[in-house]
Amino acid sequence: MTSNENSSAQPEPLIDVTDLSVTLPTGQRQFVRAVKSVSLKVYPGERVGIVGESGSGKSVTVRAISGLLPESPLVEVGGSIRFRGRELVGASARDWQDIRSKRIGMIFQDPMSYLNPTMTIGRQVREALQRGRSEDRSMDAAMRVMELAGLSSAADLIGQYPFQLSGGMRQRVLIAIALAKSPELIVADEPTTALDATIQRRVLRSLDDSVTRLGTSLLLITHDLAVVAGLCDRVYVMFRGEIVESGTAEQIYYNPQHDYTKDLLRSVRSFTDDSEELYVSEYARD
Amino acid sequence: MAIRTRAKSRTESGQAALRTPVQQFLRLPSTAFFLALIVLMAAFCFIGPLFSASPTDTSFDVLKAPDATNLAGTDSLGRDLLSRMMVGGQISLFVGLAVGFICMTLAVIIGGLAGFYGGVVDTLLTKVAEFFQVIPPIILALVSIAMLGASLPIIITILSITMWPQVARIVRAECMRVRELGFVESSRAAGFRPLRILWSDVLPNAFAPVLVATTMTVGRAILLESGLAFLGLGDANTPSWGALLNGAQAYMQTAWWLTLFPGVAIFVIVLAANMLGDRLNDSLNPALSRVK
Amino acid sequence: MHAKLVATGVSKTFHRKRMPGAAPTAKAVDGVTISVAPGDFTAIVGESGSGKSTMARIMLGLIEPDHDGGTVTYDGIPLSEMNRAQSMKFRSSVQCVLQDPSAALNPRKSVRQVLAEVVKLHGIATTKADIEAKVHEALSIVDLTPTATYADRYPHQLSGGQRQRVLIARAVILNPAIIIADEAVSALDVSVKASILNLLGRLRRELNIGYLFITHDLPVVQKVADYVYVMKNGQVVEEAAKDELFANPKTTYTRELLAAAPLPDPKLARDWIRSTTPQTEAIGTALVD
Repeated sequence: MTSNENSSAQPEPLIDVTDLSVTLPTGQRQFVRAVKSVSLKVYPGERVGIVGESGSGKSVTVRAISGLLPESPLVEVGGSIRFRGRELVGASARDWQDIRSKRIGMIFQDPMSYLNPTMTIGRQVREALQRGRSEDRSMDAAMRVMELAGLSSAADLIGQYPFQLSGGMRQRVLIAIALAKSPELIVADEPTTALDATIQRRVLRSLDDSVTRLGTSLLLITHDLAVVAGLCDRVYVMFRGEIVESGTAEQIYYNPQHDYTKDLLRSVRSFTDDSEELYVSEYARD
Repeated sequence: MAIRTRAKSRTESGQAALRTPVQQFLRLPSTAFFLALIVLMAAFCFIGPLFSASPTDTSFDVLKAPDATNLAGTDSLGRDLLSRMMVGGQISLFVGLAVGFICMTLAVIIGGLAGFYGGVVDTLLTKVAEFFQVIPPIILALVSIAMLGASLPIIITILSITMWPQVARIVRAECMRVRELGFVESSRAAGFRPLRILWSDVLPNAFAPVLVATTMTVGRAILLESGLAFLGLGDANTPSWGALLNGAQAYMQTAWWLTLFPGVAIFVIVLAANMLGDRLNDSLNPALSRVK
Repeated sequence: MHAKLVATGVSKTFHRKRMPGAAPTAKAVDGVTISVAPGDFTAIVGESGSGKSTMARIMLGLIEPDHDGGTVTYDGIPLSEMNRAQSMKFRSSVQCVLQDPSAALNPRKSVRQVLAEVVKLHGIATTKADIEAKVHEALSIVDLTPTATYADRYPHQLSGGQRQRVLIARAVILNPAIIIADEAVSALDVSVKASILNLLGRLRRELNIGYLFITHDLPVVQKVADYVYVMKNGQVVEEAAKDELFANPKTTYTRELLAAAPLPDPKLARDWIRSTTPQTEAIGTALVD
């Protein structure tokens, strides 16, 4: 593993993952080590991206950090995940509840799966406020959070239901719900992958703005190298359950060290550069 | 500091699904267990008679409690209860399986066509199913038997008529779901005819819930048939377990074995059929054991 | 004379159930003219709701255009007037690769079954040996080798890229003139995407297949397409040869689409994000993104 991390004196990390491993059942009494040995850190106020293709284990890592692995005795988790020094692996349900409602806000790929279809938007945001750390839990506060997330007509939206909104707006509602908790960390797993390109840009801007204004940390997971480049300060590159390279965004994109990273960048760039054919990475699993 | 933690400790501290020991025990019997139980009972009913006394042999002592010769005791005419139960079981099982099979066939045809084609076909067939569903089985049984007499074919018909709509509903819903999937559209684009697509692409993928529903239908059919026989509406010439219970009514206080054994047998077979359906559902829906 | 697939002035209206605030009918496609011939690589680019997927299905004969909503012809014959024989010929000459993330392939059929059944349907081969040979031929064309291993596999045993190759194999096995591909590479990893696109390019060179390639992903189009139609709200707002379109986009929408794709470069990507407006726009009571 190649690492270009700065190791100057830094405050205590918000998230400190050491040697994480996750083994999952794949049916028929077979198991797969989705995450082999992952160590990463997220500092307060930082934006960190995890980049990887399918099978890299990035989603599983993030779910482990959020406490959202499947609740099955067949799932095995090893290593350590510390949130502000507090060990999360082996933590009780109550601990996780506390973390998820107050400290970590989550945004996932498919908004419809995470929004209650029978509850109005306003109510859902407000519920998140109530469970979170904010003192102001009024509908006004809910509207402010929605505007912070980029929904400019919050007053019109609070009475609407998820099915009445477009994909981009639903995603912004998820952002609002995540922000409403006043979390210390926002975890976003492929937040804009399902959206049209023009919408994606604006939703990313909303995310960027809100994270800046609230000063929360951001952990962004995606396969899209460009999105990570635009939003993150530091990047971890994952491949087959391990981190193969990490560093600042500039380091990774302008000066990649690991062959996998170089190949990935070359492949992505071959779509828009002058090359004759598209470059197929040697690591391509097909 | 790295902590090696197995998921079990998460269970203990409450994060993963917490199962009490009792719950764990009840989940222990697998699909195989109930299947084996049913097979054993079928063997008892169909192979047993080769090794036991004739069910019509009245040479035994009348109303004798279970002993070495008559493991289940004898009835009021001196017939061995065990052998009567074997033959009776044949009837019960046969009725259950016949009804299950007929319901499944009707359900697949009608539900499949309704779910796949939609539109007018669906509306029409659904109305037909609804009509049959609202018919109360006992009333229909009373009326039919009064008019046509009680014979096995009639009972099987009655039960099938009232039970198929429920399974058809499931088939219809599944077909409606499957027909939206990508490969069905691709088959259309390839030039296959609609019925062929229904048969080859849609139905095989709609089948799992149907199987579950059918096993439960078998259980319910056996229960209903026993109920009808108990009320005296069974086929007099072919006494099923329910009929045995009917005959045992007069002796409930004195000859407990006449009530107990058929009753337990009905209970076990219906429970096994339902449990099998439930386990099948679990194994065909691997949401707990599988992870994407 | 190349057999062309031509859609002229096609419209399609869907009648939706009433929802509060929504229009009761929606024109998914409105007066669209698109054509593709063998050897072409024509792309339809648009966002969700542009009608491009509906258009693809109309050109495949899966959806019928409105009564007075134009015609689709193949080799000069309108689809609606084809007899069974002509229809089958159309179906074998114009194939599709449609993406459905949930189930593009029947989970209960093996790769061999999927390929063999179309061969049997169109009578390309009749004996068991001939059919088997065709199956292996198709699998090796799409680089699923060793073909014997892949022929026996089921969809759940294949990766996303492998499943796409099977779909392409099924499309190619009938020696089609045109393949209509709807978001055929969108859900794939970058490297697999590149590999599949290279495969499509190679098939075009070797077998002179024409592609109607529907996608929302502009960078993909830039590399592989010759001619591009841009669709928005059911209409073609712009069409041009690829180089011309990318160099001189004529409509605002096309320019927006071109600007919508970020580059994997921190400086450029950050500017790209920060130079757009984050808010939704409210137009009356109909909120738009």
